[in-house]
Amino acid sequence: MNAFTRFASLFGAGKDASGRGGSSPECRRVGEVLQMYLDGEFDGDTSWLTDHLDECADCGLDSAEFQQLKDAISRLGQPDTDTRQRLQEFADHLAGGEMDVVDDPV
Amino acid sequence: MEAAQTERDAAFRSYVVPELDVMFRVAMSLTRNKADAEDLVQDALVRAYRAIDRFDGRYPRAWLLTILRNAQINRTRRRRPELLHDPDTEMERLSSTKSGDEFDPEAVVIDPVFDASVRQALDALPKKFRRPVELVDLGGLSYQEAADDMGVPVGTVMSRLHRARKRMRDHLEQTGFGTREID
Repeated sequence: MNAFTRFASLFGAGKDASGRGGSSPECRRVGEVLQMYLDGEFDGDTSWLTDHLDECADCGLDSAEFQQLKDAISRLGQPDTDTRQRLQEFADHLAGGEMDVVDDPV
Repeated sequence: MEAAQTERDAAFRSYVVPELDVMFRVAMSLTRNKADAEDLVQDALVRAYRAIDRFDGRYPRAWLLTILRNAQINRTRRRRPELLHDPDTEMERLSSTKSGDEFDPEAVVIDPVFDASVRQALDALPKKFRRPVELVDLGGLSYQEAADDMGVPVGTVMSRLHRARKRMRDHLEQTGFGTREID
């Protein structure tokens, strides 16, 4: 079972495993704002949206797939613990005056 | 002189240090390589430190991203074309977990092959669709911040971003990932 089809079984989607949302007017309304909602860019009441995602297997699958895609892309740019620590130490050295860089050409 | 130094250090800690993760993420979108991204962020940090007494304190993230982008332009000018990103090499690197280039352990457990496929789908996008994905999903920027960086309206970012993700999803399915089994 792959990472996408895992969600199909998770949600028990009836139509197909590709997840393209449902076909009702409410599903289309969700489809128009779903990515904004997942990006945290959707202002206003979201209860109707979250209720629909809970109730509609097709839209729920659509949401899960986009979220999984977003998470995977995010991981591509995530600094690992060592990198994060090295950058923090580098910044600390700069801010601590331990590197004389103010008048040096970069 | 010491007071000025203290002020500079305080401003650096206040405006720059909280943005280290975002700087690295955007650097990854520019370099596609962790080591180069780290070098680029260090380069940008030095530039930011030198310039911070001229920074007015407004929109530090936008200011830092401009510095980062300019630093990358300078670095690219100094480099030879053969050092530019090679998608095949990148795929190989992303599919492996050799020591010295460790991934976050959690990401490895999740599914490194899936992530490599996602990278391939991202690379397959035309540049105008790829950039908003890199800025929002990889860089962690808001729609407005991405729009400012790209010099386009927010609506354009949304439209391209949403279409890009649908293309990526289609790409993942069409390239056979949908039938691959994992343990």
